[in-house]
Amino acid sequence: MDTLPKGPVFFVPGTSKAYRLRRLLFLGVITAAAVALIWPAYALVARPLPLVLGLPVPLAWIVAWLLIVMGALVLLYRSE
Amino acid sequence: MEPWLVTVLVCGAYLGLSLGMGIASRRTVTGTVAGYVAADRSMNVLVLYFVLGASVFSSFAFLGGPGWAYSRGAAAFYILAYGAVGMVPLYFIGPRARRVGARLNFVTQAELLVHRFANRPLGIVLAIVSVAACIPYLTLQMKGAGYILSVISEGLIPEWAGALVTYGVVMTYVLTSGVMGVGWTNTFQGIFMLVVAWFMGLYLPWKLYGGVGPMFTKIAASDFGAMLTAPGVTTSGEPWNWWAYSSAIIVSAMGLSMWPHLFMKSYAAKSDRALRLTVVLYPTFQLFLVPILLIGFAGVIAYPNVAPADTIVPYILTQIEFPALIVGLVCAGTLAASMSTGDALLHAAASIGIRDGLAPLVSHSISDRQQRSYIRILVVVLGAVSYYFAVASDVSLVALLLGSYGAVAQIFPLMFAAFYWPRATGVGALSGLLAGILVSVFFLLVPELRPFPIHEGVFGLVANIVVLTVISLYTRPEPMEKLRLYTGIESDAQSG
Repeated sequence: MDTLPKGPVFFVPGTSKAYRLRRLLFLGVITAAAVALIWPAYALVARPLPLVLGLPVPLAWIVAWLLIVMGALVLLYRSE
Repeated sequence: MEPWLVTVLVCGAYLGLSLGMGIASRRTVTGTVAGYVAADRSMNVLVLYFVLGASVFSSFAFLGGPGWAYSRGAAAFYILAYGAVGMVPLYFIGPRARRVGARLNFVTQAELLVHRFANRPLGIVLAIVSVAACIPYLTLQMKGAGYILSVISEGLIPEWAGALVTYGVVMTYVLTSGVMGVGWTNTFQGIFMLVVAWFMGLYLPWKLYGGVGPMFTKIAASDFGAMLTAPGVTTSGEPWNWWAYSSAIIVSAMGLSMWPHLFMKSYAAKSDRALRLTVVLYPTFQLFLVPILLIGFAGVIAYPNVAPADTIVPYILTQIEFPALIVGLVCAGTLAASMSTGDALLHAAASIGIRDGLAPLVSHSISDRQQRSYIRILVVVLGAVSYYFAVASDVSLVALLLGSYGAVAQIFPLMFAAFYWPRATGVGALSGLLAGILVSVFFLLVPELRPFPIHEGVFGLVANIVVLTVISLYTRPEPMEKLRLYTGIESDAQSG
């Protein structure tokens, strides 16, 4: 008789270790991005000067993380 | 010819093109509910990309966003921040929903959750939440459209007439073509918005200050310099609270992909890869917020004391000596932002209202043809209700919309549990959703009772997750066969 796991099931049976590792790494990047965009990490870059490529530091920080997330998405998509 | 007339004619031409495109798209889908609501599950990456992107960026993008930048400085960055991660859940959950939806003929978000949790009242609650959240959002789009046409015509087109004409166009192509009308017009409107935003966002700082860097250098050195320090300032000029900022990000990020009119597009995708690629490309759309915010910042030193702050874009247009044609194109871009969100909201709210609200309540089954007819009737009804609020009511719509985000975010724990927690039950899901919504609404209405100065949606999410978890563990789970469908339908690694 099938037993029902009590906790969450993120991967179906049969998925390879490499597949799971890729997705976990991606999740790590997204978690890092989420942490970076709120207090306290974001508070470390709160001051606007010196400008970064013409943008205040907080805005440049957010754009940078947006590009990191996009890069991670591209890598994940291409690997699958 | 008077400049305002040229501007109005340009906007008129844009509206005509949108209408023609929206109606023409009808030929590309079948005359079924699946065709009307989910485009026969045939949308490619190009259309999906613009449907998602343009639906997210509304009147707020062209009016409210610059207004926030102008009056609240770095506080406006939160719009960019939550979008950086907010669409990511759709990469994982979207394809699963698409596959289940294709197999079981789902076209709405609630249908999936009702089936997974075998709980009909859940669908009714979701229908109410979805429609109730869409109406203020739609109303704000109508107000934005009416406002911009009134300003560019120097008052000759009253706001009620501008909103009526614009949303008469929207309603026509939504009625005739359903979601494919939304798709084609959003593609056109999205391209328009992107071009206009990047042009204005780069041109204005250059014109007024000699560049983006010089603009921010001047703002930083001025009396307004404090606004550039994160997390920005409140409307009264006081520093925004870090708790409030961070919690707004969390709630908005969790709620973004759960908005019914966005989530439903999972069913419209032609394949899992098309949907995933759309999510991969979505950040490029998010980047268009950068020039949008630059437009608002451009007004800080050059045009101080403009009130209300949301009028800064039309104000700048009247001050900068642009050719009337350019002004017309910018205004058309603003209309595009409004319409590209309004059409998706109107279509989704009507579809949900019938599929999830009416159909489960009637004793007999409603035919596919009848459903389409009822959906179309509801499109007209909801459009009329929203229009009434737009022109005749003093209800605080912004407050309602901000409150809506807290309610919509409560769907996230259910959607996560549907696909990743087999032990989640229908009683747990309904209880969690109700607890989350009630707590969120309570703290929205009585903010002084919040134990911490954070977004009310966070309190709702805590209540939601606790109740969902505890009650699920003490109630009977769904049969294994159904759980395999949701948690292991085909391996994600094998889907195409």
